[in-house]
Parts: sequence; C-alpha cells; structure tokens
Amino acid sequence: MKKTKFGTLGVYTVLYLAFLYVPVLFIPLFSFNDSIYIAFPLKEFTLRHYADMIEREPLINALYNSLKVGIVVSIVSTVFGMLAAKTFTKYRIPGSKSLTAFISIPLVIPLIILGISLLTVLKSVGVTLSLITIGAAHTVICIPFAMFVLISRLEGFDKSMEEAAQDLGESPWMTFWRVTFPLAMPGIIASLLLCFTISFDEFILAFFLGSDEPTLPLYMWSQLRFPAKLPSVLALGSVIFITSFFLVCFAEWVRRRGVQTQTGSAI
Amino acid sequence: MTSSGGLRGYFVRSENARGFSLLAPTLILLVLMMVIPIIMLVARSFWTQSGMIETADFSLVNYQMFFEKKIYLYVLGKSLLISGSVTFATLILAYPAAYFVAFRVKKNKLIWLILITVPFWTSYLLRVFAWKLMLGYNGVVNSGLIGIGIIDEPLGFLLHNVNAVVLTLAHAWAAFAILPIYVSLEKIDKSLLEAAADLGEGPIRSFLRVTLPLSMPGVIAASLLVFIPTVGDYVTPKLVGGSSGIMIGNLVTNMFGRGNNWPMGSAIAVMMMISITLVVCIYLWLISQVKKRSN
Amino acid sequence: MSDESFISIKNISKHFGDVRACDDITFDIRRGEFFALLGPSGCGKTTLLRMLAGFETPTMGEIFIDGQPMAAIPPYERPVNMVFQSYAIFPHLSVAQNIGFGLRKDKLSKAEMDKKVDEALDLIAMAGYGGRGADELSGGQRQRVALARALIKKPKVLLLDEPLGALDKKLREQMQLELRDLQREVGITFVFVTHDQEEALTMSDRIAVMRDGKALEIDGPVDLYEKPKTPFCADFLGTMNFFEGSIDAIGGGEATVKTTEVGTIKSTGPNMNFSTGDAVSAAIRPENMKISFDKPTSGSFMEGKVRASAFLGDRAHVYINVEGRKDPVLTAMQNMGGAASRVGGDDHTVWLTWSDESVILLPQE
Repeated sequence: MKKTKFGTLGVYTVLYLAFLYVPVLFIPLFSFNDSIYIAFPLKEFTLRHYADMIEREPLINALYNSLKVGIVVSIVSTVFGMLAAKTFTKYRIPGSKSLTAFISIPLVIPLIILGISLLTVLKSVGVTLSLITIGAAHTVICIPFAMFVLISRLEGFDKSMEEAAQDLGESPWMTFWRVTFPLAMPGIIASLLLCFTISFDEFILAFFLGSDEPTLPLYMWSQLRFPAKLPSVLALGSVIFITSFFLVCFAEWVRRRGVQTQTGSAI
Repeated sequence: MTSSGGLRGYFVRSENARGFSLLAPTLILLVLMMVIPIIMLVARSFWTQSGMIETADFSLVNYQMFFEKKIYLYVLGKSLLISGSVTFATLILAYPAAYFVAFRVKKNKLIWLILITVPFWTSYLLRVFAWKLMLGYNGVVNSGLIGIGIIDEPLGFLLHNVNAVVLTLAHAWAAFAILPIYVSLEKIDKSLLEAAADLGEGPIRSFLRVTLPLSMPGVIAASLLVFIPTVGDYVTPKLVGGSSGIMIGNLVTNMFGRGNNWPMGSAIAVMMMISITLVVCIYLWLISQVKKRSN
Repeated sequence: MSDESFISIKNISKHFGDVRACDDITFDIRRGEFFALLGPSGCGKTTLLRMLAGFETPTMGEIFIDGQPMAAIPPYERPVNMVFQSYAIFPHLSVAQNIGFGLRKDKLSKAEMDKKVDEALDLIAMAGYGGRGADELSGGQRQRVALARALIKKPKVLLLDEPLGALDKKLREQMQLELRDLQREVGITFVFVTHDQEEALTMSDRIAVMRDGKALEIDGPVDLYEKPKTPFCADFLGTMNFFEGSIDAIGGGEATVKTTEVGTIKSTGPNMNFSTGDAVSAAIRPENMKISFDKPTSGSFMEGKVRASAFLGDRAHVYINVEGRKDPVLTAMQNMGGAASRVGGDDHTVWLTWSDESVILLPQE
C-alpha cells in the first residue's frame, strides 16, 4: 500500500533530488581528493586543501570582510524590515498593498540593474567604493526578506498584547521593548540569519560595488581562474555549505519553537 | 494639560500619521538606494561617451547604436529566450516534485522541504561552478565516462553553449520555483479534490480542472522569480556559456568594465528592463485570457 | 465633573470607511457604577469601549473621564485599565511579572513591588501562583490575572471586554458573582461589554442597550426588563410576545389596543404616551401569561391550543396556537410539583390569562 502511494511521482522526485544534489556534492567530494585536478578517478583522501585554505591570508581577510558586511547588513535590514512589518501589521494606512509591493521590488529586480544603478549614483556623488557600499546594496535586497519574515511573526501573536502593555501605562517605545521585541524574537533571529546568509553569498552587487577589499564571493571569483587554487576554494565552499546548513536549520528550529509556544499559550 | 491640539494631539489621533512615520525610514532608504539610482541610470543612458570623456547632454545616440548594431538586439532576444526556456524547464521539473511533497507526503513534509532546499545553501558561484566541473572537457562527466569505458575521447559539446547555460540555471534557480508552487498547492483545500473525485472526475481531469488552476498563483510567482533575475545573470554565461552562450548581462558588464562606456551600458540595461517588463506583461495578459476562456 | 457624569460620552461617532460603528452616542456613566454595554455583535459596543481606552480615536465627538477631555491623551496616559477579551496575558512573563507589569513607572523598590503583587494575588485568590508561567494557567486563572494586572494600577475606570466570554457556563456564573463582589470591594467604576443579556442583568447597576451604533436605552436592569421603551430592547432582554395593532382608546393610565390578530388587549402598564390611532405593539412577557385549563370568568384572557412544550428542568416553555395569529404565543411556567406534565398533549384546549398591568405598550418598528 505504501509503495503504491509513493509511485511514479515519488520516483521522479527522488531523481529530481539527485539532479539537484549531484553537482553540488562534487564540491565536498573533490575537496578531499588529493589532486589539483577535478577529474575521475579519485586519488587518496586528504585534508591538505583545508589546511591550505586556512593558511591563505587573503582568503581569511575576505572571510573576515564578508562576516563584517553580513553581520551589519543583517542587523540594519532587520531594523528596517521591523519598522515596515510593524507598520503593515499595526496600522490600516491607505495604499498599504502598493507600499508592500514597492518594498518587495528588490526581490524581483535583476541584481545587475540595481548594481550598475547604484554604481552610477555613487560615482557621480563621489563616494568611494568599499565594504560599506557593498553593505548598503545588500541592505536594499535584504529588507523585503526581513519584512516578510517579521510580518508573518508579528501577525502570529495576539494584537491585544501590545494594547495591554500600553493600557498598563507603557509608551509605544517601551511597549516595543517590553512586549513586541521579546514576542517577535524568533522572527528576529530568523530574519538576522536569513539576511546574513543572503549577504554572505551575494556576488553580483559586490562585483559592481566592491573595491580592493574583496568579500568571500569576490575572492572565490578571482580564484576560479587558477586551477591550482581550485581545491582550496572547494574546501572553502564545503565549509560555507555546512555552516549555512546548520544556520538555516537553527533559524527554522527557532521559528517553529516560537510558533509552538505561541499556540500553546493561546489555549 | 488640557490643550488637546498641537502636534502631539494630532499624532495621538491620526493613525495615518503614526503609520507613515513608522514606515518613512524604510521608504526613504529605498527611494535613495533604489528609485533615484534607477532614474539616474535611465538619465545616463541618454548621455554619450567618446574616449574617456562623458558628455551629459541629452542624446539618443546609444539607443540608435542599440538598434543599428544587430548584436545587441540579437543578444537581448537570445537572453529572453534562454531565460524563458530556463523558466519553462524549471517549472516543468519542479511542479511534480512540489506536487509530490504537497499531496503524497503525509509525514515529515518539513524533512522533504529541507532535503529539496539544502543544495541551495551552497554559494551561488559554486553552484554554477559545479556545472563547469561536471561538464568540462576534463570534467567529471567526461572523466567518469572514459573511466568506465563508454567513450574514448572527452565529449566537447557538453560545455560552452546555450544548453549548458539553460541546464545550469534550471539547477541554480530550482528552489525559487519549488517553494512558491509548494505553498500554493499546500493551501488547496483537500476536500475540493475529494469533491471533484466524488463528482466523477478522473484524476487527470480533476488535476486540470481543480488543482492546476488553484495552484496558478504559485506557478506565476515562481515563473517571475526565475525569469526576471535570470535575464540579467552574467555569472552563468561567463562560466559555462562560452562565446555562444553570451547573454545581455555580459554586454552590460563589459560596458561598465573593460568597454568603459557607461552611457551605452546604461542604455542596454534600460532596454533590458523594458523588454523584461513587456514580456512579463504579455505573460500575465495571456494567463488572464486563458483564465477568462476557461470560465 | 460630578459623580453623576463621571464618564461623559458626548456625540461620539466612529466610522470605519462607510461603516458607522458608533453613530452619535451620548450618555453618562456614574462614579463607582457597574455599567454594561449590551448588544448583538456588530452593534458598536466594543468600538465604544476601545475609544474609552484610547485604542480607537472618535471620528466625531468627545469623551471626558472625571472631567478631563480624553481626545489628546494616548492610551498609556489614560486613567483607565482594561481586561481584554483574550486576556492578553504576556506569554513570556510569569504570573507575578504579568501582574507587576504596570508598576515599572512607579519606581518602587523590589520589596514594595513584591508586596503589591502579593496583595493583588491575594485579591484574586491566587496566592502562591506568582512564579507560574503564563501557559500553565486555566481560563479562569488567566481571567483573574488579567483583572489583577489592571486593578493593581488603581485606575479610575476598569474596562472589561467580554470578560467572561472565554469561560464555560459553570465558571462563568461563578465569576459573575465574584466580579460583582470584587467591584464592590475596590469601588472602582467598571464598564463592561457583553452580548449576553443574562450576564448584563445579573451583574450591572445600569445597562446601555446598543444596536447599529446607537445606544437605544440606558436604565437599571429591572426597569429595562419590566419597562422597556423599544421593541428591540424588549426582545433582546428576555423574550416577549408582541401583539401588533393600533391604539383604540387611551387615557387615565389605561389603554385598549385593537390588535390585528387576536382582538383587543387592555393595558394599564408603562408607556402611556401614545394617542389614539398610533401603531403600537402590546407586549407581554411569557412568564406573565398563565395557562388555565378552565375558561376564566373574569379578567383578560384568550383561548388557544397547545402546540408544543419544551421542558427545561426548573421551568417549561409552552407554545400555544391562538386562532387568527400566525406565530404561537409563548408562555413560561415554573415546574413546581410537576406542573409541566399537566399541560397535556398537543391540541389540548387551554386559556391564557394575564394581568393588564403586565401589558407593555411599545411603538412599532
């Protein structure tokens, strides 16, 4: 009975999963292969590409740059996203649908357009390109993600919670810190992690708006041309993959736990 | 104490004032960092550049060039076609998988969703690069096939062409198709399907008459989320496309890089935005026509 | 600013787009009173309560509390506190933290704070529950915590939005009495919203009956029940038999109504301010119509046949068909000594009697 349920569709889905996984899995596979050529047959197992990776100073610098940008971007985008989410969940303002659509434009605009537009403006007002310009551009594309994550969280809890706090004498500002913020915490964490992941992986905007201080994707891009350096890039890719896997799982876990305590207390 | 007027009184009373002041920082940021830059881009597309000197006078020279030199229109058309095929392929490939998770999987749906999205947590660059490793002349496929003795010589037609670009993009953007489709399928009230079966509809007819129309919002969202960004992609064509797989994004990048003709690059980008908007409008119009007719 | 008009609601309207949630409402609430806003859902009672709390701003009109205009005063500075329908117990805080939530601004020492919270816990008979988490409470306990949390602020007015709506019937009846006692004890003005007429009758000093954004009648429970001035009120508070017709003669505290269905009905009840020819309803409460098995020799009566009876334990509702009348007449009888079982089966001929005093004249809608 169970087997028939699985059926052709199930087989198809497994094949599709294989299509999604196989190319990606070659990255960690060859990162352990004791050869600088990415080809079969496999040679001995080795960790030297990882050791090589850690010793390479520009790579560590790039990693450090990406962490800096990612952390700042995730915080700033979450703040802006929270302001927007708060507005749309709390007030019945006219045109809220078109305003939501406006804020979501960065989700669908080709990044190359945003990249060269920002480059054009920054150049004409004489701003030097740096990690800051990369971060500013990342903030623009992260805001809609943060907003949607936070809207779904803010909609999830009883609105009268905030009213109750105001009723008990707290100003809107203190109400936010004493009630909204702790209740929205799972959403805030999910938003921070999501924005960090997006910024950490973003290449196109960084390509146009970056300078001689590269982020990790920029560094990888520069290394892809040199076959000898490939294996350590693959090692780096594997590390990023595992880290972001755990980060996203953690974000999802926090979010679900938040949902559960919420429904638990609603009874 | 009793003065009920003043700015503060207005704020207490007016919900709109409070709402908009809360939203203002985000709106201002997006206007500064998105709207004004795009307007500037459009403005610059009317400038001209000769040598190192940029002239800020209104001129249609770039657009004239765009339409005169067949290469621009050709590459733009090809980019739209590539993205169209990518979108179509991604939807066709992703829909059954999303359907399977939404309707056939009873327990642990989350595990399946995580399984499907895990490959997308690698870096985008590496996801694309993985295909170069796969399809390259000395790549995984060729060395593997030679290793097990199916071929003697590496196959040269795997990489550096349009097919490689379509395949790579269909892989790289799969999550953007699966998730919206899954969400819209998951929202469908299962009793509707039972009702259709109860009214004597066969599985295929009930899929065509109930499931597919109800999942259209997800399909539309998925197609826009895949189509629009891929038109401007230049990483994939650069890594796996070769000279025949070149896309409009590469031309723009060149103009802003080695070509050093920003006004021309801006004009190409503007044409790209216009054509994307046109295609999306036609697509949405076609869907509304189909909907009307089926009603 | 007098005790008579402690809360003064003046020409209050609230529009949401085209919907008039509140439409030109004016009335006063007395100091120390237990006041109910009663009406069906959508009548504007909750909107009015939320305007008192400051969560909605009136489109027109003004609200004064203790003589002070409320228009420019935000919710967090108003001398009122609210018990929310959902209770809005903060899930991330303990019971004690919930109750002490509003004390932050008072800048109390830890000991003073604990003392106040303990007193509040005593007041709601939940001493020792302070350390519990919000999700460990039963519905009744949540309600009490919400009460304590609001009362600890010593508000001038306590607002309660359907405070008992989330509780089951038994608990609700118990809490009705407790709330009443609590209000007497603390002496604070209570304004509460309910759609349950029995609850309003049991608990309040005065009731405002609301419909379609208007306050139709404001009076004490007994007067509202016995001397309603509108058919809606008469029907919403309890049940009512209406006999429609027109005034045949009126004067000297006595009126005869020529009904369209059952002949003339005499009234010596309230509401005599009609003149001959006015379209009215003669309304009689079911409990004021008695069943007689023999034809009465004097007084007002009508003949009918038993159509059905509904046994409710302590009392019974008997539906009686009267010739010429479309709807059956409803009577309610106490089931003392098994009286209900003597009504007999269907189509049994009986006579309905009533006193002319119990006939209330009402304008037709």
